[in-house]
Amino acid sequence: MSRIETVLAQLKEKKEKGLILYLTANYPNERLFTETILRVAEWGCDGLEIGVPFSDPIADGPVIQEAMDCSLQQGTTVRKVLHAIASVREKVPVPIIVMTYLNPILRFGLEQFAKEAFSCGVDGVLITDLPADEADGWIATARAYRLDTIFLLSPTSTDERIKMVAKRSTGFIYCVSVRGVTGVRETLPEDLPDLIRRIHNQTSQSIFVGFGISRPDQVRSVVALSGTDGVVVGSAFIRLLKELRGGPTHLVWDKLEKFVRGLKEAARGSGGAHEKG
Amino acid sequence: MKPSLKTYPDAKGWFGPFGGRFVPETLMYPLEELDRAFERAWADLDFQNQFHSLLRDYVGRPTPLYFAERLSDRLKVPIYLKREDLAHTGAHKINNTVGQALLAKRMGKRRVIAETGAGQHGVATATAAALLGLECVVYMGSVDMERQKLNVHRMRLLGAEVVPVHSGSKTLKDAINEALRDWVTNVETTHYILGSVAGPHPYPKMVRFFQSVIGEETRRQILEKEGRLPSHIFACVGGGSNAIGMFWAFLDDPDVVLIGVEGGGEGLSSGRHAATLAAGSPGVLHGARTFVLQDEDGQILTTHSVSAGLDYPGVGPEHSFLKELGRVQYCLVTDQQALEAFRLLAQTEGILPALEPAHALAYLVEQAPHLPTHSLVVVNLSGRGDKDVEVVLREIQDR
Repeated sequence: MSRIETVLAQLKEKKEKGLILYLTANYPNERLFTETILRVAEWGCDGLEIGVPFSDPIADGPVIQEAMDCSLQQGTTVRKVLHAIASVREKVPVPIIVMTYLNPILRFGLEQFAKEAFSCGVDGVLITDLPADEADGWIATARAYRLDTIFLLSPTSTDERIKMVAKRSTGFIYCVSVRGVTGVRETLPEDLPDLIRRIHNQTSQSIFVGFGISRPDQVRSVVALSGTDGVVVGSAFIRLLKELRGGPTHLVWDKLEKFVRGLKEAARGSGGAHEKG
Repeated sequence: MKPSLKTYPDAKGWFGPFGGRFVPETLMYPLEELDRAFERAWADLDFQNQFHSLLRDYVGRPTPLYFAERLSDRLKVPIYLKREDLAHTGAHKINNTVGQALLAKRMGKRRVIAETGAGQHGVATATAAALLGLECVVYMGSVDMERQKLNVHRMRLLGAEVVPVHSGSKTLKDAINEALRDWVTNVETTHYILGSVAGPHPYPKMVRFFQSVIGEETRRQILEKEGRLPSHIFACVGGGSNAIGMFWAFLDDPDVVLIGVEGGGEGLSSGRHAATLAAGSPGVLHGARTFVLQDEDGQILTTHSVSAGLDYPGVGPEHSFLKELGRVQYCLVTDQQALEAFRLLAQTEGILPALEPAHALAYLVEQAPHLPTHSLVVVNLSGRGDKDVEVVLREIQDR
């Protein structure tokens, strides 16, 4: 069983839903990035998505674009991202997923990337602009290095595409809640329940929902939908991390802790609420 | 007999090892839907009639194939200019936007969006949108808005909203990023009128078909005038839509030498250029596997060209394929050479070319002394230069 599958099984056993946090690699800088990883794992987050910065992130909104630019300006490369992950791997039990655009790892070499990702302790990889039906070669490579291949589904995915993506995904399916890019939104889309139902009808795979989720009440509505296994929160978290660059850090850490614990509590839902001591 | 080069792409959008569809999941079904809609429309006589009657009566096609006598005397080789600058709105871009706007309407979309570099594609999209009663938003890098002000005004007068893009290099590549983000968000109501033969399948194929009228007319016109095919055809290459539109009709004529000219900026060694095919390597940008200008970590590089329309770190995947096959020769000229060619054409023929095709002319100027006797040259004059007057004046003063 992969680390991702183990954690998902544990969540199911505890009857609670998971919280995955997205971090842009080496943002705000390498030291604060690795420190953030160690802290959020303590605060109860169930998985980490580490974004490899790219010059042209077409699926990302302004908050993550800015974080990526900042990271790139500090000289972040694919190899540096993997090394940063390796440096914390032994200290955090949660699954680590690398989220990247295709070109940086294509340049690195897909095989080489899979090999080094595996040896640095990466559990899964999500390539934003590699749709599952163009991914045969990548899937074979990833399997050889025991990396889970996570793919996206979205409100525009047809039932046919849902079936195809479910077949090629391992670990879980990342369900994009909205038509659009990453970023904080006021409300969840009305057709989200229907989308989750359609995916859940086609597959028994675990489903994590992301894009546009920033508040505990939103987390509660998402995890209440039958078939979901948890949420991914990105832009809202990055926005808070940005404050580490300026203000007194202990206050920002407090704020971050409150934010993460609040989201996790919401994700525990009714099933796990009583367990909190 | 050699197999035809006109059978590409395959059903999944591959030109050999180039092309494909590398986009977030949200765009996959819309792209499949677009491909089906395009294939149905292209095979439909009604659509063809609508498209061709608009090209004739609205765009003003066929555009002339003009024998440039004084330029020919000067360069000592017979030169024809394909006068795309005389098409409505002043460039070849209108062929594609009329086609895609018709298609958008057929698909029931009410809103169209576009990216633009030089502003020609933005103007052509705004024009087609006005013609067909569609809402129109154009994304344009803020650097480009500054250097192509006239076209910004034209778009706004045509009723389009022009949205400045401040991210990245603030040029064409970033405008495409922003247009893709809009499309991902509004895909149900919106059609993205991509302006070049770049992007995910089916764009490279679809835009090529809409632009192939350039080469088909040229082929007919040169046979009428000269009774033979040209020996050499020159076209500029940014994303490469005017070049593919011109070259496609001649791909299976091995005796016709096809030459694509990229923006060499301040020269390859300066690092400030936009010569993707000359100095780039295969990668994935804006939805396709193609040559891109990238650093050793796979980050896309910032480009430079005096011509906003060539200032792009990618190129249409079919060009990458034709380069690898050796069917088309890709070369480059510097900003300086393009500016000199701009003045040469103005003063020998009374035509102000856009800075983009001024690159194609400049390479002809460089090569003319080396062309074999009995050569017969065609240059695709893809647009007119009114939009560039300010830039040219400034550059001439600075040099």
